[in-house]
Order: sequence, then structure tokens, then C-alpha cells
Amino acid sequence: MAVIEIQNLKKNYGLHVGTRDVSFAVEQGEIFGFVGPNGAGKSTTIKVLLGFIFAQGGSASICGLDVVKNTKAIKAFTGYVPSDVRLYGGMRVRELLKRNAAFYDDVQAGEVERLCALFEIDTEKRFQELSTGNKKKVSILCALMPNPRVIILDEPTNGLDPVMQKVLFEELKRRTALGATVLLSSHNLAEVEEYCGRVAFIQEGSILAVTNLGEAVTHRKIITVTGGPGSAPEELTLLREEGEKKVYRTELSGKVLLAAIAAMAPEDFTVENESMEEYFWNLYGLGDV
Amino acid sequence: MNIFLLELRNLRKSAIAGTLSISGVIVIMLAFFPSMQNESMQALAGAKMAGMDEALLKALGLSAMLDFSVITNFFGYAVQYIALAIMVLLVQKAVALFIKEETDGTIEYLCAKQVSRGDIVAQKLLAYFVVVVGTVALYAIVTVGGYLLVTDYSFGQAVREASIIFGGILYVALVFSAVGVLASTLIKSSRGVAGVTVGLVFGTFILGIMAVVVPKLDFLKWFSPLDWIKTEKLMNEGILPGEWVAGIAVIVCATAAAWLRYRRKDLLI
Repeated sequence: MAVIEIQNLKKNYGLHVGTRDVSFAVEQGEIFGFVGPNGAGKSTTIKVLLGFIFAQGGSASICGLDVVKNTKAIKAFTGYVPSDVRLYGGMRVRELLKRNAAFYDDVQAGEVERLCALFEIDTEKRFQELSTGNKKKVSILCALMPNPRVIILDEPTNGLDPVMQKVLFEELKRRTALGATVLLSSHNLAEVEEYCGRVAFIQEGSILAVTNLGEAVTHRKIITVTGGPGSAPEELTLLREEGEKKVYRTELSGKVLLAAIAAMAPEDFTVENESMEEYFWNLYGLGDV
Repeated sequence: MNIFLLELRNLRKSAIAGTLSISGVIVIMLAFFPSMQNESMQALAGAKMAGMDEALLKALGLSAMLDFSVITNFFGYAVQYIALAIMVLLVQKAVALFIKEETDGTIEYLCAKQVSRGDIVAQKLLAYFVVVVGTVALYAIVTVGGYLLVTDYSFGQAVREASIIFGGILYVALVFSAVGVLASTLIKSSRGVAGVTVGLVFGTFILGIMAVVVPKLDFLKWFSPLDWIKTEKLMNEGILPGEWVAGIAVIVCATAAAWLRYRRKDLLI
């Protein structure tokens, strides 16, 4: 069942295009990646989903509720972690958490305590005294506190140390296992590769592809060949040349792949699964960079 | 009521600072009053004003109030400028009411919560209204106390006079505030707050002066709410029916326009 559905979303800021044509659906229980360069339209899409801005065309819904008409109802079960966390600086964290809890009907005190312990949050400090990473942790706690069915995160690991990144994603995995749905906008391809099942790639306001990483990435191979007189068969796509080295991508595997490499009679070669990063570069036409 | 409480908290510090400073000015002005009853001081003030152009005296609200030994005349003159300062302090808060959260980025947090834009507008306006009424009421209380100390007014007389003066100030503050709130939904950054505030308060104040000084521009008094509450006029005629209609129309229209605008605007995040 699609929890988040976006159809042909179009948003302009005056002459500047925010999104041109964005469509994708996020299924219940998945961690869905949303990837693209700066200015591609990721944040614009999220802002429309959360009712911060209004689209000029297309539609978007969360749990079947239109994001424009039902924004308050949607927020009751949606948690959001912004990229740049800005809260009331003069407040102590414990007061912020108390006020945040007051926005919802059924925040469990035990859950707040568990999250504070999990993310190692010092509740006695004023928000403005916190480091970027600690501010992010407070924002994550505010978003997760009401136990949301839908979690939208915009660059959630910016500023978080590796341990906390791991803690965050383990918590997200735990919640998705219980039925929550996560939309993760990120520049960090490694975390997207590790935690997301499917990914929407966006460029200049349009979706390039919605990819099931399990199918698209892991079954393609990157072959790096050094030297050798033979030419590559057409099933191997040349991505780039680095001196004597040539880098190919192919969907061949097993004996057929070995035969193709043998035909080139290379001095040396390596074979590895295509990484998310490699996939990204090629999808965006940057494979020869 | 969470946003209401948050907004009260946000307004708290500047409201306290503003209230203390204006209350201080009121106390200082009233402390001067006993010395104004001195005959030589009256003669000095009278001589100074006799040398001034009549139109200028009128513009300054002094035309028929030359006897500063009467507290209503003395404080009524000073309160014109106190009212100007009150308007600046309150309108500044009104203009910042919505745009500050956008410039500070806290609106991203607020709007992600279980609230509608209508909730945000209603609760912020309510918090602002409480601050306006609270601070103006406090000025009135300080004034009553001052009157009792420096005059032989009874408590009832002091309350009546302070109620008329600060009731008028409250009404005009609400008129200005409504326009300020509308401006808050229109401007692009909180950096524009000071400019809009000064333009709104001093701009209309200058229009009022022009209306008095240039007879042909008499109609401009309709655009100068501070002229509606010049003490002499307020004491004798009160706020005129046309001024009630114009002010209430501005309050209703500007607040409704701000509400409609904020519900459909793209937040600047």
C-alpha cells in the first residue's frame, strides 16, 4: 500500500523551477531514498508534502490524505527532521521536549526517556548552546517522540557522528519493521545504499528513475581492465579510461562474464558489484568524470 | 494553546523591557508636574508658547491647552509622544509576529507539528492581543498611581482620566497592529520590520501634522489614528463615530487579509 504518493508535482519560484515533474510512491514499511544534487528539487518536494509551500500542479497525499486539504491531520502521524535545525534558541532542551509533546495527543513519557537515553541528549542545556549534531539529535527526538507512522528526514545525518548515525538508522529500521514508513532525502550515497530498499533519483526538478537498489545495483558489475590487446564485447559498456586502465559496466555474470574478460586478454583485471556511487554517477551522465 | 504559550514566551522579554521603559517615562513626566504648578514656570511656558506659530501649536496639540498647571493639559501633552513610543514598540511586535519565525527558521518546526495555519494565526494573534492589552493596562495603572501622588484627584477621577487616555491609545494601537500584522505576512524578511514600523507610525503621524498645518489637506487626519486620540479632543469629543468606523474597518479588513494571506502563502524556509 502506498503511504506517500506524489503525482506530477510542479512548483516554480517565480522564474526558477523548483520541481518540474515529480512522481513517486513510497510503500508502507520501507525506507525510501530520495537522492539528487543540490537544487534538484528534493527539499521543494518535501516542503510541499509538509504543507510549507503550495504546488502549482500535480498532487501529493500521505496515507490517502491530500497534503493541502488535510495538513493538520497528516501532521498528527508524520514526523519531520529538517536539514537545518532551527528551534527556539533560548529554551532548555527539556522545555522544548515538553512543548513538543504538548502538540500531540498521546506522547508516552517512557518513550521520550528512552529516546533521550538512546540519542544521549543532555536536556538541561539551552538549545543555542548545543553543537550542530546535538541540535540534530533534539530535532530527531522531537520528530520520533509521538511515534509517527510516517517519518520524513531531510539530510538527517548531517552533523551526526558515525555512532549516532548508526543509532538513528537502527531506530528507523526498528520502526519500519513495526509498520512505519520512511522517506529519506540524503546526499550520503553510502547510507542510502545501506538502508534504503528503493530510491528516487531527481535532477533539475524531474525524477530520473525510481530504482530498486537490490535489483539495479547488485546485479551489475564494474570491470576494471589493465592492458591487453583484445577489444571488449558489446555487452561491456566503457565508462571511462584511466591511463592504461579501462572501466566497464556490464550485466553479464558468471562464466559468460569470465569469457568476455578472457577475450580481451588483459594483463590484470578486477570485478566488483556496481556501487550506489557508481550507479549515481552513471545515471546522472557523469560516468566519465 | 501551545502556540499561544510559545508566542507569549517569545514576546515576554521585549514586552517587559518596553513596558518598564515606557512606565519609567510616565513616572518621570508625572514627577515634573508639581514644578509646573509653580507660577514662574507657568509664565515661562506661556511665554515660550506665545512666541510659537498658532498652526504649529495646533499641530503639537497645544492650541487650547496652554495651562500646564492642570494635569490633564500637562500629561495630555506629554502622552502624545508617549503614545507615539507605545505605538512603535507594539507595532514592531506586530510586524515581526509572523515573519520573524520565518527568518529565524522556527516556522519549519512549528508547521511540522499537528497544527493548521489557521491555528498559528489565531493563537499568535491572541498572544499578541494579550500583550497589547496587558501593557497598555499597566501604563494606565502606573498613570493612576502617578495622578494620585502628584494631584488631589480622587481614585475615581484618576481612573476615569487614565481610562479615557489609555483606552484611546489601546484602540489606536489595535488599528496600527492590524496593519502591522498584515505587513508581517507580506514582507520577505524580519530585517524589514523596523522600516515598516517607522514608516507606518511616523508616516501617519506626519500625515496628521500636515492635515493640521495645511487646511486643504484636512482629509489626511483620517489616515492619522494618533490624531484621533489627541488628549484635548479625546477629553472633549471622544473618538468620533467616523473614527470608530474607519478604525474597526481597518482592524477587521487587515486581520482578515492577513489570515487569508498566511493560510495560502509559501513559507520562506
